Amino acid sequence: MRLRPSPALVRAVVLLVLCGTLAVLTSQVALLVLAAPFTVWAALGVLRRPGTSEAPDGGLSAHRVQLGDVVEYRLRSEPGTLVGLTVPPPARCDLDPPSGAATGLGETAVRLRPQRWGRHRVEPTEAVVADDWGLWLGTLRPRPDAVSVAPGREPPGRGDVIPHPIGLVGLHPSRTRGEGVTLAEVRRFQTGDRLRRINWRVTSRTGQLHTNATLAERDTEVLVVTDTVADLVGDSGTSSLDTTVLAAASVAEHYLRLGDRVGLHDLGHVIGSVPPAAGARQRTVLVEQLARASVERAARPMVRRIRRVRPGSLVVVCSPLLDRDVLAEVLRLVHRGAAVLAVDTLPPELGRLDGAHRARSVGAVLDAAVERLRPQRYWTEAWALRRLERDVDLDRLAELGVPVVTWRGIESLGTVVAALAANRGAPRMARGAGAGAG
Amino acid sequence: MLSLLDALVEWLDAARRCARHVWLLRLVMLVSAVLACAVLWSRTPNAVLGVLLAGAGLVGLVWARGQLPLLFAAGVVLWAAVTAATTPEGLDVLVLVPVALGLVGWHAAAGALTLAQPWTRVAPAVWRRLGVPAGLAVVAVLAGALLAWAAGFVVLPAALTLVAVVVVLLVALAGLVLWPTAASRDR
Repeated sequence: MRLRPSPALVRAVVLLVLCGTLAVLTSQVALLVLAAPFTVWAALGVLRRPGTSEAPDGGLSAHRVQLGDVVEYRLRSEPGTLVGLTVPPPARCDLDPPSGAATGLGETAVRLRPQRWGRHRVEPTEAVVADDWGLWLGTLRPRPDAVSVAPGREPPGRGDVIPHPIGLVGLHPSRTRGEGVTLAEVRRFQTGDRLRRINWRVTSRTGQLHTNATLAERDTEVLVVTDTVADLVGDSGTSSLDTTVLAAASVAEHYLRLGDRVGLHDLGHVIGSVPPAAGARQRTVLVEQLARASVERAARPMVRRIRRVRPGSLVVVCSPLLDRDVLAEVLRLVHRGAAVLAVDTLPPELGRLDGAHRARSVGAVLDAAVERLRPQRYWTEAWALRRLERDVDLDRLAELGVPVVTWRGIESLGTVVAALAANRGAPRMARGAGAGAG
Repeated sequence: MLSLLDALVEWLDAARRCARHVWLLRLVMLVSAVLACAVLWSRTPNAVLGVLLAGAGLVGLVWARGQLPLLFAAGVVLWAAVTAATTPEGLDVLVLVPVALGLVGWHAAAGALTLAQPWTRVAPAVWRRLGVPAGLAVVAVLAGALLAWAAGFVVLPAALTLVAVVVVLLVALAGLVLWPTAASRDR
């Protein structure tokens, strides 16, 4: 790149000429005092005139990070040159320095901490390159770069029970007897039982050969469904889309760790779908899929229906549960024999009237007064009505056997899944008991 | 009216986002300008020149990142030349030393403001490097004062004066060639 004289150098040359001319024309040698510093300045500029040099190279320090990690956009130039970089903040990204502009010697960097998963494009504006004395300078536009941010995962907790283990091998205790480690009962020895399972204590006490029966351990298929049709943001900045993706990532991580086959289906167009599979590779695929998501595609209202679901699969639907089409899709899943669990990702403050009129400080009173003067001042009440309507829908879902859990981490989900498994078992036991009684 | 208010709010917001070094550099410019003007005013109080220079100084302070600070600096040089020409016994060299130092401070601070956006975080090493030409210029002021004092005893012939004018014009031509094509980057 080619540097041009800085305004300081040009100013020095002009002032030198002016001082020299006036000194000569007025025959005032004393004016040489004014000309002297600008003579030095201009002479330095001529002596340090730079040739054509390589353009500075810039880029991000990483292209795949986890939510909360820091990534750096660094611009490097030749040693001894000043480099100024300005990075406009991408949506929902913290910058260091907060202005996104930094100037350094030889190289400079702006740090970014994405506050949202997905793909973030970093597009620096015009950068300034100058020699270290600020006599010559040039501008260039650094190349844009992008970083994929994987959603954060909550630490795995308990809750390894699922309603219908449908695989052949895995970690979940089945309701059927088979090879495993969980004791089901102690029963009479039958032909074909393994000798190492003989319970010698019971055998010696009863005088008849007894053996330990265990529950088979199986895996299952878990389908994580995300509702990215709309993004609803609460007053505190919590976003339904962020909670949905966080819940989906945590659920997928949890069940993959247990050895299950986990798939992903997006009802919107933000994330895309991943067919069910197990193992560490599937975990990587899911994380990559979530990291590449583009939030700009969240505005398409059409729901992508689920084509295939295996009967008995556990389906975890992460959704704010507001869209009629999404609720209809949940019902279709139930009718197709899936064990459906809905994770409510609506920001809790939306439609809550509890703290709306509790302004205590002067600032809060003023804010409340300004809020009352806004043209769209009935949003809170409108959301409260919408939440009441939604509560009716959630009650209907509960009647159909679809529990709805507000997302508070995988722990609360595990408890509900265990309850779901217990509910699934209960009617069968009741039917069996009724038949036996009749 | 609304657009005027919007512009005012935008300007205030931009001023609020300015880094501390920007205000410090502008303070240096202001102090330097006051020093140079005060010395000249003490010699030849000229209300017209004073008002014009105050306006040019204000413009230079607000739009310091382009070529506008040149107006004030050129005005100071003109005022010094007028003062020197109107003083019967000639201007004392020592009087012009604080004026020259004021000009150096004004010029160096305005030059430093040019290199980065007002809200940029600047590494300390950058300030050290930018201070080098300013330091050399201060030394040059003292050397120039010594030289001017010594040259005050020399009477130049008319032919030499003509040659000097030609040299100065050539330097002026070089200045025009070096003039940057980009517009002011204050916005």
